[in-house]
Amino acid sequence: MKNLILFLSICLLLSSCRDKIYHKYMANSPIYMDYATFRNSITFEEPKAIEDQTGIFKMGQNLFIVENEKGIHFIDNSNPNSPKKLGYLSIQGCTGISIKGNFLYANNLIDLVVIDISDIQNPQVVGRAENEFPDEIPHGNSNYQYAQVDSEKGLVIGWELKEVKEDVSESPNDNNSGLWYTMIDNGGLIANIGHSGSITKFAILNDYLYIMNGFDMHPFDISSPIQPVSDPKFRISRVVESLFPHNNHLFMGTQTGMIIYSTASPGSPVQIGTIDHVTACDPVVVQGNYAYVTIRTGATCAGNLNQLDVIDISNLSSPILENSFPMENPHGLGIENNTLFICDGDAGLKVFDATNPLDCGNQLQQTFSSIVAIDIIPHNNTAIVLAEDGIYQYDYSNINNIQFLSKIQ
Amino acid sequence: MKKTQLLIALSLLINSAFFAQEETTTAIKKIEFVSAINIGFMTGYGEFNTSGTVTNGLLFKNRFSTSIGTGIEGNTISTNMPFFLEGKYFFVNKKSHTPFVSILGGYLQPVGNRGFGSKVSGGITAGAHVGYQNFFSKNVGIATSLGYRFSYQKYDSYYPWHTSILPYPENQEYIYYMNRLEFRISLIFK
Repeated sequence: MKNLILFLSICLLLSSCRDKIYHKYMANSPIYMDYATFRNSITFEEPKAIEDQTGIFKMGQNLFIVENEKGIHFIDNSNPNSPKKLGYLSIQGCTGISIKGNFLYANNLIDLVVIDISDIQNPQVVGRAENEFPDEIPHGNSNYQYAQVDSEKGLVIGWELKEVKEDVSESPNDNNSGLWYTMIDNGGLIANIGHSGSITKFAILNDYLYIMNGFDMHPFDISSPIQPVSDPKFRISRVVESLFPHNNHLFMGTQTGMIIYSTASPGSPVQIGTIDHVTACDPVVVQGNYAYVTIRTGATCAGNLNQLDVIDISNLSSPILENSFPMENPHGLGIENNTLFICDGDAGLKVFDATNPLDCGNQLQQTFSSIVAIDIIPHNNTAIVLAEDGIYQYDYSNINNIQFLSKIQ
Repeated sequence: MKKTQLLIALSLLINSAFFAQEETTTAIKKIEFVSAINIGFMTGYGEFNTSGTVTNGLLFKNRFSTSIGTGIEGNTISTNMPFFLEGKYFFVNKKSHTPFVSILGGYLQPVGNRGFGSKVSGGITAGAHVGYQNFFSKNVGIATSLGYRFSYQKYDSYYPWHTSILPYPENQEYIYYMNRLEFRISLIFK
């Protein structure tokens, strides 16, 4: 009888066990790094090939190419005919940069780092604002889900694709992960501040660095360059894709329109104007009283519109759309001395005469259709074009005879 | 816990009717054919499932029996046709009523999913019971038992629309390890 009771007890005990449910699937599985190692992981290495360029920045005679989520290529461009790679600064999760004076600001996943580039051959980390972007994580393979992250194991610095088996006993119907990205893409303008491409979420205005992170705008006081001080971030109710600083104002290209912020109070900019358009991607640049906005469709951009909008911003609180010109699939753009460059995707790089802004779209001067142009910095008669297969440089001192100078790969 | 108590009480109630009967001695045969119709109730993980199975097998000296069985039963993710082998040990072989222990194990063939994905795979099941059996006539008896049932089964969750909307692979596998308390009533023929 004792055995019988024991047997029954075991049966009852077993049946009281909770069900175990596992979810097995191919997923982006996190690669962890402990915080101490992560914060000592920035290294300056030998030059390497440019593989996944997402941003360009020009400072003086040097070019800085952002290698998506990995680092920055340093290039000596004193001779645009023959640019020379100086080295590669490995920065985990770096997606954007901005430079003021001798200090380069970059996002290092969750941190903002300050790099002293006074010795361009030997850049040094001199400052770090920790945990400014706490939700920042690298991208994985977008065709796969993301496995659960255990923050106790450290910081996620990357993903590897593999089959994972997760215990989902507590929430079997929860389709997992829910990782939402707040990625900062790319990197601003003004004296000793350098020049960025138009597709950037970094901008420096005077003593303030502005970084767009997801829906949040982070202002940093960089009056003390190596000790950036974070002011309260604030939420932008639209998907911001690019920042363009101009005359103490921030022009934001969003998926649903252009917004203008005044930085009279630099730590807490105030929205003063907006103009809406259909949902699409739209970087913006400004010259004089006109803003030039390219609107395009694409994988992450909704809408079915591809065009250049010319907006009168003489009254910043009430911008007016003056004219629109059809384009193929315009990405980044740049303007200098009335020469407007539009990176029109597969249609290549297009150069327009913008002497008359309201008719600029009809004044096509030249097309470089052999390159898939993404973004551009036109400066001092040299156009630095970020293309799918590298960086191209053109001399446009004579707009009627634009000359190819070099290609960096 | 209430369900467990209820099932134990039910088990005792059913059997108490037969305890009250006059004790009879049964003839011991070397081998006999036995068949049973079983109704089962499984509970646990906030759910309640039923099963209906039939078993056919051999009884050896009123002490051991082995049977094969099939039927229909449900669990969290599917309705299955189980194919199982069951063994019983009877503690008293000379009386018409006896406590027993049983173990079973087998394969679960899904016959219908319950809204979980597009493809439920076959699984395995195993269990152990303690019960009481009483033959109230020469050839017909009743048994009640209470025990544990384990089932392992998986299904593929399929997102046919993934290519246009979701960046997810089409197939994902969910694996269930189910633990249940099972109560069973059997009508036995030999």
